[in-house]
Amino acid sequence: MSDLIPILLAACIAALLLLGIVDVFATAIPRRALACATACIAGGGMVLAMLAVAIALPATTLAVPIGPPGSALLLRLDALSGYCLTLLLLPGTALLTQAAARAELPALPSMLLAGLSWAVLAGDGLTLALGFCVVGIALWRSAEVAGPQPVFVIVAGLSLMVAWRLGELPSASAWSSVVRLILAWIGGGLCLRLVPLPWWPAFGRPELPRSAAAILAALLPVVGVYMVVRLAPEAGFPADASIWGGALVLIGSVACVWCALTSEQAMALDEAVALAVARPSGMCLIALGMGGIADSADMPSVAIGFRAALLALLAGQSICGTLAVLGARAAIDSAGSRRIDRMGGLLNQTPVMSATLAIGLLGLVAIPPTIGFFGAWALVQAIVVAPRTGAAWPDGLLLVASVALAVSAALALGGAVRLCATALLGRPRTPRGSAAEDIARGEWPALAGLALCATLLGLFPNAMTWFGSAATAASGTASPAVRIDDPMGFATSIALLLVLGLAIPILRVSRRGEETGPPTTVWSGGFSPPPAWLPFGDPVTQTGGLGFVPTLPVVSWRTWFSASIPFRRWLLLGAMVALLGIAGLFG
Amino acid sequence: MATLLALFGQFLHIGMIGLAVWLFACERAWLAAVMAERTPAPFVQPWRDIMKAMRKRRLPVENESPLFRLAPIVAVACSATAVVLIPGYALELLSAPIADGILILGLLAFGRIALILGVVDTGSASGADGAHRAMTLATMTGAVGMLVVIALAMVTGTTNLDRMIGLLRDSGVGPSEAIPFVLAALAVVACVDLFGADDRLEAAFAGRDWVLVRIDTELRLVGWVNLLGGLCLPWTVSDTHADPIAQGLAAIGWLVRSAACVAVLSLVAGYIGKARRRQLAQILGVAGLGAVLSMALTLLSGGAT
Repeated sequence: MSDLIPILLAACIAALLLLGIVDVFATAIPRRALACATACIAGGGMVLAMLAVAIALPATTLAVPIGPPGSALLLRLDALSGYCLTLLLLPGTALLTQAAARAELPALPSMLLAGLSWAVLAGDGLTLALGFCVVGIALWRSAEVAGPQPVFVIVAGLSLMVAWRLGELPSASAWSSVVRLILAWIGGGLCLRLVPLPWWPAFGRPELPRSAAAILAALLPVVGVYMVVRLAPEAGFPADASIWGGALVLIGSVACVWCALTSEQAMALDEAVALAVARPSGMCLIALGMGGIADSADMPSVAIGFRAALLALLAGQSICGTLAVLGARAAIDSAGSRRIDRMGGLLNQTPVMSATLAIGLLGLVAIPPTIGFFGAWALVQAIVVAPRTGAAWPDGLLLVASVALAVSAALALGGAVRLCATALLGRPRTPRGSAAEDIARGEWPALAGLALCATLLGLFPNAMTWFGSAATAASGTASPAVRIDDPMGFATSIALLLVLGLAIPILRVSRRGEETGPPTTVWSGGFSPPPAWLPFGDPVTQTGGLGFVPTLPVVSWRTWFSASIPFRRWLLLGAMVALLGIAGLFG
Repeated sequence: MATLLALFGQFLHIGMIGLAVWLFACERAWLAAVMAERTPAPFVQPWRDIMKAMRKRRLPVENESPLFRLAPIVAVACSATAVVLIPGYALELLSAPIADGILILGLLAFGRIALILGVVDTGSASGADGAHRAMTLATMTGAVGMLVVIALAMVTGTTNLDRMIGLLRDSGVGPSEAIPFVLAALAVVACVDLFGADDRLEAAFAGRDWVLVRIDTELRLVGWVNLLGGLCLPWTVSDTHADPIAQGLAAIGWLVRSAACVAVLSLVAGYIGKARRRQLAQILGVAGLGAVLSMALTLLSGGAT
């Protein structure tokens, strides 16, 4: 059985790739049939990957008799790669099902999915590079809509391949270990959309199919994290583990805050959502860095906490990110604009699309009861229970990570509320927006399935941690099991039951015997109601998405030290003394 | 037997929350009038207003959606759940194992967000303006609140509030110099969350919806007072398995402690309510700095793990 799973999985991925190629050239075959076939194959692959994790499949290597003369391509399946494949193929199946319902050409999404799955299954550098090449070529075919993404993907694949090859050298010097680690980080960072941060396009242009956009935004980061995990522990941290792990934590902290801050300032829906989807990547880097430091210090119980958080964060990013991207693209298509201040009132016209976007965003910003909340919770738990040395460098990392988590969580929450409030609520601002069409009924099951997964995994996190425990063990930690404290494993579900248990009686009591009068204009603070010739209301009186979240203060020293505002002067003095105090305490 | 005691304690806790919601609303209104040097209205006037609003005919707002109707209900349900989870007069209640600080913050945030989204959905300028201010404050208090919870968790080694209070009461964990900073930061977050919000958010609702929003505000007040009282004066908190006299004394003590806390908060409310957004940001910035300082102190001392 354990020998059969890798063979069947490889066959599924090959079939996905083949169907993608057939779809490009054999135009006579009905699109819907091809899309259905790809969705079924992806679903089969997902079941196999889940099986591999559930039975804690020992690492199995499969030699595929193709490749350069004298060598074969190697595929390696273990619990960790099975977990990542599950996270790729679960949303992937939903995306392909959705493509089938829309009678969309499944070539691009199926090739992207096949390439990424192949890269995850890779057992050597060449196989890995081939997987990324498939992704790059598939995107290159759509270069006019994909922007510079093919270049980034191919550079990522090449750097990861070189990193892998360097690890296979018989006598690795300290410098080659350093180069290997840096290459792995560059490759992983490109997949995580954190390198080069400002130049990553949102999801390509609006012409890029929704499913392909979702794969690039939400599923590519899963592969990036997998690659960093797979390549880094084998190399080990070359010199002082705390320096390299600390660098990852610092990069992750900056990325978290930067993504949240720019997301809440972006006026284009796709940009804002892409940045919100990228924020958990920063949290993953924090978990990776801290886990690496704990591993090097021989503290497996601490490392396993960070790894459990990492697995939950990845699940949240892939599932909720896919939902958010699909919702955002559907909103852009139906409202005919990327700008959130040109949308508005979409909830009434497009409830399913709005729910998709809202659930995805709330999951990404860690609002209970979604899996995103559990990921953030697990990361905080791991930080809280991490042992302290009393020294400035490793302990300062805990401080930096905590501050970054808190600030980025609040900013991301503000950004998500701003997006939902401006784009989905209020009155429509344009005729196109007032006639927006909802997602077709055929696509509903796929979206409902993803939303259900996001919620159920958040409600019963122990199921996920049980599922991921084999993967955690495979990711380099000796301790085999991850289990969240039993009561907390059900805390979110109990809290949700309590909320529902209270909301239903309140609803009944508050509506009993209530008299209803004629509809009236809402009190507009002295403004008159909009005239009849403004059918969408006065756009000026509606929120345009600005002012929901605090802007960063611009420090003007002249203003700060102005004698007219002594309060600020004292505040600044207090802050400086406190900072000096912290610095002094850390020696 | 222990479960039965915990169950009894839980029901008593819920009953006392109900009493506190009623009592503190009246106390707050009375103190506000006294501090403004006005003749106070009868003590129970806030509840008369609420009963009056309950009988009012509902005037549906143009363009209102189910979200607008459901928002106050969701807000009250979330706040009530959060308040029930926060330990009150006694520890080791039935809800103790799931009284997680981060979960409670999440529930409070969800309730506030539901209200904000409901108001924005009407499309009115005034409501959206109030929502902007409320969301800005929620973002800032959320960030500092999360910092405070992490700092407290670092001091005590757990994010469970029940265990946190128990540890503070029994063993005095963590570096003692870190605790005042984090508790001061918590008090600031509570004040800004309670009194910094704009009245325009409440004014968007009418009739029974307005009543629900008022109850939500009072529930949040009780929750913050519970949390502050429990963490600042942990020795006033009893256990469910303590003898009935001790529990009764703890329940009375809880009521007195909370009423005193509400009085202190009401004094601050005048200042916070008039403060501009930038001033509130500065106050919260100082509170955040306090939380970071307490984290640094905890980490430096080797902390409680």
